[in-house]
Amino acid sequence: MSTPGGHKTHDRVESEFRPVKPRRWQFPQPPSAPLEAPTRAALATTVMTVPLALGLHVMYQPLWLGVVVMTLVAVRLITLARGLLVPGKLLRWILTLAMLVLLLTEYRTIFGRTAGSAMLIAFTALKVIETDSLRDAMFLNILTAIVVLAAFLFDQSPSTAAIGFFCLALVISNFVLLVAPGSFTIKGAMLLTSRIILHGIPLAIVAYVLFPRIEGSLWGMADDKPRAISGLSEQVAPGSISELSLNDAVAFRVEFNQDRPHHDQLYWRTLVLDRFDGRTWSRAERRHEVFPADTNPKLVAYDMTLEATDKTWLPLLETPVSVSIGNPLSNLALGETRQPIRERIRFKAASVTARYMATGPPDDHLTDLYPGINKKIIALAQDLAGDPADNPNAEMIAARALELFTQSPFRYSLQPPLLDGEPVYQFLFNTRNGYCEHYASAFATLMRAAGIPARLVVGYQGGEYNPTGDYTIVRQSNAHAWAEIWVDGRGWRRIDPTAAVAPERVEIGVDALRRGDSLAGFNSGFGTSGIRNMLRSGWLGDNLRRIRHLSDAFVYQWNNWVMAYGPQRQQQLMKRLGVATPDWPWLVMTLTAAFAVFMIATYLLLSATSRQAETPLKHYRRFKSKLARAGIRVMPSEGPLSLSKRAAEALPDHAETIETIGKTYICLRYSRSPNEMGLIGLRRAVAGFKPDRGKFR
Amino acid sequence: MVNVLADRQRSALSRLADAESLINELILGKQEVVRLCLTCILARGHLLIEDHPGVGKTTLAHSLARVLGLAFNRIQFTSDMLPADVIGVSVYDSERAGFKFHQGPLFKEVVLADEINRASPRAQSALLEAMEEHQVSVDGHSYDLPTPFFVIATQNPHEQSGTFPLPESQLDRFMMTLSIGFPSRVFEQALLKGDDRTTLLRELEAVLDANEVIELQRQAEGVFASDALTGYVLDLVEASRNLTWIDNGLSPRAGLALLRAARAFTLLDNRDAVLPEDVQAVAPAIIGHRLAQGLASAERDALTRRLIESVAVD
Repeated sequence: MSTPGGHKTHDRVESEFRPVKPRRWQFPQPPSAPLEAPTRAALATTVMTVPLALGLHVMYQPLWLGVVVMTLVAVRLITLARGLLVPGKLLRWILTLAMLVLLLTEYRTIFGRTAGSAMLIAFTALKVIETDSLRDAMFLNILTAIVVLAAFLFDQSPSTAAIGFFCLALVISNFVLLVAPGSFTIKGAMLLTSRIILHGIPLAIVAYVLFPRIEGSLWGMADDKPRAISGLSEQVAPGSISELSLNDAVAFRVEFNQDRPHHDQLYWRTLVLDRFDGRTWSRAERRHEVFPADTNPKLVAYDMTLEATDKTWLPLLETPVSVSIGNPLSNLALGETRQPIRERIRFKAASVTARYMATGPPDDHLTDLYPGINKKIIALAQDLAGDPADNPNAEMIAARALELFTQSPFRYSLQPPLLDGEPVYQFLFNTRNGYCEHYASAFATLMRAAGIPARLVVGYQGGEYNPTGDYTIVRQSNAHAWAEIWVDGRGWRRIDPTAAVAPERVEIGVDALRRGDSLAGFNSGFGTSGIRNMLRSGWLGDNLRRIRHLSDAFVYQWNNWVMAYGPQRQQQLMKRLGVATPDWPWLVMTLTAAFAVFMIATYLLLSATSRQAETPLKHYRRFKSKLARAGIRVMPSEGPLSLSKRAAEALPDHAETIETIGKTYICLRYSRSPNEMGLIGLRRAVAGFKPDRGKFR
Repeated sequence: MVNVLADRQRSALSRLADAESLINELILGKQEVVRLCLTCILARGHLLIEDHPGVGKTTLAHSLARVLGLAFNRIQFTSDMLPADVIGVSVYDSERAGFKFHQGPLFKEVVLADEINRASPRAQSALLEAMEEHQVSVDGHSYDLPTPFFVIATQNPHEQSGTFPLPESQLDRFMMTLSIGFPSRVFEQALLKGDDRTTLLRELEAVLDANEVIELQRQAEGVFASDALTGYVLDLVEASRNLTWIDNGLSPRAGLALLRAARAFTLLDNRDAVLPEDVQAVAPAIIGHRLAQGLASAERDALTRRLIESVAVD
C-alpha cells in the first residue's frame, strides 16, 4: 500500500507534463492542488479591470481617490511588465494606514453609501499592489465585481448598466484566464465568457422577474447625503424661475392616452402661492377652499413619470380631476404625495380642460396687499379698474392689464435686470423687462390692488414632444409662473401675462425661444453661442435632435420596464401567470424548489447523455477513485490490465472483485464485441467494491 | 528441451510460442528482446539493433530464422561496399547472348545487415530502398524479394570514426530499434557453462515455415483495436507533438507502426483485442529512435517513459 507521499510525486509528475489538449470542448476544470501560478496576461487583465470598474464611481468620489487608484494600478502594471517584486510588508502597511487617514479626513466615517464605496475602492486598489499569487488574483477579481455592483447604489441608468455589464464580462473572462492558466488566449477566454453569459442570461431574466421585490427602494436606504435637486421651490421671488431656464434636467415625462392637448394648453400646476410680501410669494397656512367637480366635456388622461424631487408635490395638467398616487387632490386642485419623492415614480392622472375652476368663494386675504406698497401701483390698478360705478368685470380688468403689458415698452427677457427695493414697482415703472415670475407677480399685485382676488401659480408650461417615443418631455427649463384670478360666479381663471407679452413663449416653448436668443448672441459676436446655434437649428440640429429623442426614448423605456419593475408590477405579473396571491415565503419556497428541480434535471440530463456514451468509463473511474482512497497509487497513464493486476496483489481480500472489474471493463471498452450485459455486472462489481472496509479491519 | 515433434495439428500460434521458448534457451535472459523481435516480424517491420559486438546479435538473428523455418543470410557492411554487393548484379551471359541477373545476398527471408553504418550512404540507401519497396530494381527490371522479408540491421553506437550514421528519414524505415544489452550474471554464468552457441544453432529445428509466418502476419493484422485504443494511440502521438522537450513529434507513420506492432504484440500474448498495455510495451522500441536519435538508448527509454506517463489512459 502506498503512502500519501506517493500521491505527491504523482501530482508533481502531472503538473510537470502539461496534459494533452482536450479533444472535445469542455469547461476548464479547476486544477488540482497545488494551485499553479497565474499567467502574466491573466494577472495584467485582472489588474486592468480595476480602473474600468472605478470609472463607474468617478462621478461620486473625490478626484484624489481616482488618482491614487490609477497610480497604484500603473505601479503594479509596471512591476508586472518588468518582473519586479511586489512591495514589502512594511510599505503595504504604510500605504494602508495612509489610505485610511485620507478616507477618514474626507468622509469622517466609514459607513454610508459614498464612504463605504470609497473604502471598498481604496482597498481594492491596495489589493492590486500585492496581487501576485493565484489566490490573490481570484480575490482581487471578486473585489472588482463588488466594486462594479456598488456603482448601482448610485445610478441605475442604461449607460451604467451597459458599462457594468461589460466590466462583469471582463471579470468572468479574468476568472477563465486565471483558473486554467495557459489553456486560453485572451480572445479564447472572451469567447468562452460570451458563451457563459449567453447561457446565464435566461436564468438572470427569470431571477429578475421572479425574485421577490422589496417594497420601497433598496438602493435608497443607504443614502447618506441629501442630494440637491434643482427644481421648483415653495417660494417664488424674482429670478427664482428664470434661474431654471437653462436647466435641461428632465422634470417629468408624460404619455397622453389620447390626443395631446395643444402646446398652449399644457399648464402643469404644481403649487399655488397666495401670500405676497412685496418680494416673495409663498403659501398661506389656511387652506379651506372647496373644490367641487367641474362639469366639463373634455377629459385628458395621461401617465406621468416624475423624476425624484425630494418634495411632496406633483405637477398635474390643469385642471386635474384624479391622480393614482398620494393623497386625494387638495382643494387647490393640487396633487401631493405623503412622502418626499426620492425615487422616480410613475402614476396615472386625468385632467379636464376647463376655462374656470369652480370653487367656493375665496378667502379675504387673497386681496391683501403687501405693506408699504407704492401708491403709484395702487393708482395704476384703480386706473385699470375704471369707475366702480361701471361695475367692471374681473376679466375685463385683467384684459386691460394684459393690454398694458403688450402696449407699453414691456419686454420679455430670459436675463432680466436685477430688481432692488420694491420689485413690483421697479418692474412696472422702471425696468419693464422681466421673466414670467415678474409678470405674474406684477399682474397678481395689480389685480389685488384693483380688488380682485388673485394668486400666483407655479409649475411647468409646455414640454418637448418626442415623436420617437410618443411622449412629452418636460424639463426644469419649462418651469413657469402664472396667475389665477377669481371671477365672481364662475370660479378661478388662469391668466398668463407672459402669454400676452411673449406669445411665442407659450406657443412654441422656451427651447425655441432660447434658440432665438442665441441667434442674437451670434449676431453680436462669434462664440460658443454661435456654434450652439448651428447645432440647434438647421439640418445638423434636426438630426442631433432626432438622436437625442431616440436616446431619451430608450432611457424612458428602460425606466418604465426595467427600473419601474417593483412589487406591484411583480404581483400583477404573478396574477397574470395564474398565481393569485403571491406572498413572500411562498414565492421564496417555490423559487427554491423550482431551482432545485432545474438543477437536478440538468444533472440527470447530463449524466444520462454521458451514460449512453461512456458508461464503462464512468464506473471504471469510480473504481479508480475507490482504489486511490484505499491507498493504491493510481497512475493516470496506467492501463486497466496492469492496474487491476497490481491492485489485486495489493488488496488480496478483494482480488476476485478487482479481477472481475478489470476483465469486464476491458471487455466492454476494448474488445471487438462488448457484452451489453457486462455493463450491469461492472456497475454491480464497482458498487460492491468497498476496499475501505478491509483497510480498517 | 521443449518437445517440438512435428505436430502439424497444433495451431501456428501455439507453435510460435514453442519457437519463442526455443530462442530463449539460446539467448539467455532476454525474453523481452526476443518477444519484441517476433513482434517486429509479425508486424512486417524491420529491426535495428544498436549494441556492442558480441552480445549475441548474430545468434539472435540466426536462431530466429532457424526456428521460423526461414532462409538466412548475413551481410557484413564495409566502407568500400557497393549497392551491387547487396542487391546483386546483371552479368552478360554469352550463351544466351543477354544479361542475366545474379541475386545478391539480400534475396533471403531473414537478412542480418551487420554494422550498417560502416557502409557508404549509397550502399545503405540501396538496402533501405529494397526494404521499403520489397523489391529490387536493376537495369530497368524489378525483382521481388521473398516473403516474408525481415531485415535485422545492427550498428555499433560507440564507434564514430569512419562511419556514416543513418539519417532520420532512413531511421524511420525501421519499425523498431532495440539494444540487447549484457546478460545478467546468472545468465552469463549459464552461458559460460553451456554448450557452444554455434553447435546449438545447428541443432535448432524449424517449428514453423514461411507460409505459416505469412499466415501469422495476417492474423496479427486482424487483431481488434477499439476506438478507445486508437484514441489512446492518437493521444500519445499528439502529446509528442505538444511536448516542449522534444524537437519533432511523431509522424503519422510512427502512429501506424505503433498500432501495427501493438496488434502483433497482442497476438503473441494470445489475446484478441489490443490493450493500452500492449501499446505501452512496444512504444519504447518504436518511439525512441524517432523522437531523439542522438541520445543513448537508456536516455531514449527514459524520454519515452516520460511521454507515456504524461498521457492519461482509462
